[in-house]
Amino acid sequence: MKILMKIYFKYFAMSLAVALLFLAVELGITFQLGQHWGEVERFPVGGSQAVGEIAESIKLDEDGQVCNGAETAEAIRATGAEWAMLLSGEGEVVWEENLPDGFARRYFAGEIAAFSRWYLEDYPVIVWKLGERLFVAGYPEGSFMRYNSLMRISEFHYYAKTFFLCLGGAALLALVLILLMGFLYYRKMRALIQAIIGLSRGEDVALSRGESFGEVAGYINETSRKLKEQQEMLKKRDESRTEWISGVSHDIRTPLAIVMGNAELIEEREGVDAQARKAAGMIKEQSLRIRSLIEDLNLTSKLAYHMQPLRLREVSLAALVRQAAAACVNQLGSGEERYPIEISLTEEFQKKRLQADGHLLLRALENVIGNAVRHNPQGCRIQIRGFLEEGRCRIAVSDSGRGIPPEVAACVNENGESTRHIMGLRLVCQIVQAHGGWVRITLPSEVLLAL
Amino acid sequence: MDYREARILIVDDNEELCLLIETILRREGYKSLRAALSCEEARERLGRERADLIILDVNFPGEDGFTFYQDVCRREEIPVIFLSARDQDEDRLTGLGLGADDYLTKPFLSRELILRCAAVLRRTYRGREKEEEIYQVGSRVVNLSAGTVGIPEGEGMRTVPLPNKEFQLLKLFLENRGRILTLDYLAESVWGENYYGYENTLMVHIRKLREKLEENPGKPQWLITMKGLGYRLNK
Repeated sequence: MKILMKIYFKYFAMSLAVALLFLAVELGITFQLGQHWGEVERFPVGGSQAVGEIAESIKLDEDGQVCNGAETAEAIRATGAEWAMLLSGEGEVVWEENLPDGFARRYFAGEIAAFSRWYLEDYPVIVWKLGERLFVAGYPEGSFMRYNSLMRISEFHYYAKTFFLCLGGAALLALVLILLMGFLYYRKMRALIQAIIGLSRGEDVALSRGESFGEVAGYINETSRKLKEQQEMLKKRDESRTEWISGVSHDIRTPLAIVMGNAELIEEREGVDAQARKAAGMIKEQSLRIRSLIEDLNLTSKLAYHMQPLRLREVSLAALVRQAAAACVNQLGSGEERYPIEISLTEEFQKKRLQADGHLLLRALENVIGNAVRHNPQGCRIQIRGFLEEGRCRIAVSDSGRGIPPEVAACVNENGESTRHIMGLRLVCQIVQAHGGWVRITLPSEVLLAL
Repeated sequence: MDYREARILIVDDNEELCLLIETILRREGYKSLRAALSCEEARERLGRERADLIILDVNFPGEDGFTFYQDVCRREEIPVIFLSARDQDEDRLTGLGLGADDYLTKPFLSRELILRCAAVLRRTYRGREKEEEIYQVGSRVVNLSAGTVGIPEGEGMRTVPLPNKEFQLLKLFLENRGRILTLDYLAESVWGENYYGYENTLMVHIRKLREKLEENPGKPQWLITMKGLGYRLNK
């Protein structure tokens, strides 16, 4: 279930990444707003600080009258103010600039307290204390907002703490939800993944359709059913093909026995002329060749369709190499001198034992050595080397004959399904591959078996 | 018993093949040969006259060869060689597992059939006849029944006994004369499956055998070494 855990962790990581992305975006926006707040032009222009500076620059004479009224008026207008006034300690207007009609010229403490926090006749104002006097600047209605709030420190602390706790809690809740949702999907997905893995292994799959993935389960069940049908059809086809080959080879054997036997009788009969004897000998030889081909055909079809059981037991490859070479020499009879066989097996190779089907491996080795003989009727020197490479057995069979055609070598090396006349070599490849090994041909004429 | 006097019954549904086998065996000197084209016919024949050996096909339209073997041959203790077109290991194992003396697949070499028939007859009837197994290897006379090698000495013959291992090896060589026997086959036959490490001991026994069989053991003419493969006792 590694794959499922991978999916789960990917989902978790992605969800977490999305949550963090949102957080980052929010923080980014807040940061941008903060920057914007810092950069935008203040209203009043220069902010309340500018109003304060203007107020502080007011010069009063001995009678308490404003000396630089014009400059002050110009400066305060530059901040965007519509009007301005200076109140004495008693609340009387001692200087004014563009004060709207209907405005009182004297304000009581309650009125001052009210407009200094809120608005004066709907005009937002900024006040600045100058000793016992008060400078008031009025701005156009609706130009800015005044808001005052009162809060206990303990309440502020409470709200701040609650805010951060809620923020942390929300993050934790999001994390838990991600994990939980992931786990719930993990459980549901597990059945699906198990089913898909089962399908890949060729197992029958039948999922319950009541789950939230019911539709998907239905498709998987349908796929399983179709795969099973196809497997059965393929198996049936392979079996019939193998049986057909087996049947044909069986039916050929008896007539071939009669052909071969009669050819032998003619060949060995006294008084038969030399030409007829030679012809009979050829019939016998070719019949033997057909017999060998039938055996190869049978075995190759069984190996191709995995119908040949491997009878594994501990075998010595060195013993098999010697047995195959001896069988080849024994078959050659009087012709053995034309095919000298040289065997060199390393000490490690001779000691090595494998779990293998000795009968099949012997067949493969006999085929390789037999090929060297069959394709070099003029005779050749055959060399068989057995050695270990990277802990695995290697058997190299080469000959001094006319060599292996490059197209045959290419076909074997590329594991091609050639229909050309290389059934013997194909069989060798199949047997070696059935044992987890491989066969390579290195030109001009070396067949290398790795087991 | 002269094996060529043996009564051989050939059971195969192919008449031409029966005829061929008869010809092959007749040419080899076997005189009493009968053929049956089905198991029923073979049963009928066996009811009339006993056979010393049956060459039996497996596939018949009716009763198959395996059933016939179990029903008749095993009960009457008649040696049987199955001669079948069925070449699968399972068939071979079934035939031999039932107790048949040999299993030969078609197509076959006539020499192989002759040798197998002779071997089965020899194995089956040797005990009864107490025939001595005597072989000539060059100037030496090997008596396997007595386990000795006769070496010419002057006018007469000096008899040298064969120790156990040398006897086993020489028997293998004589049974497979003219064929290469690998080191592994020889060692396994004499020392069993766990023969590893006996190669040097084998060489010692071969040297001793040569001392008995060869005129000049340093330059053997009969028991020769096939380099890298094993040994061969020349014909």
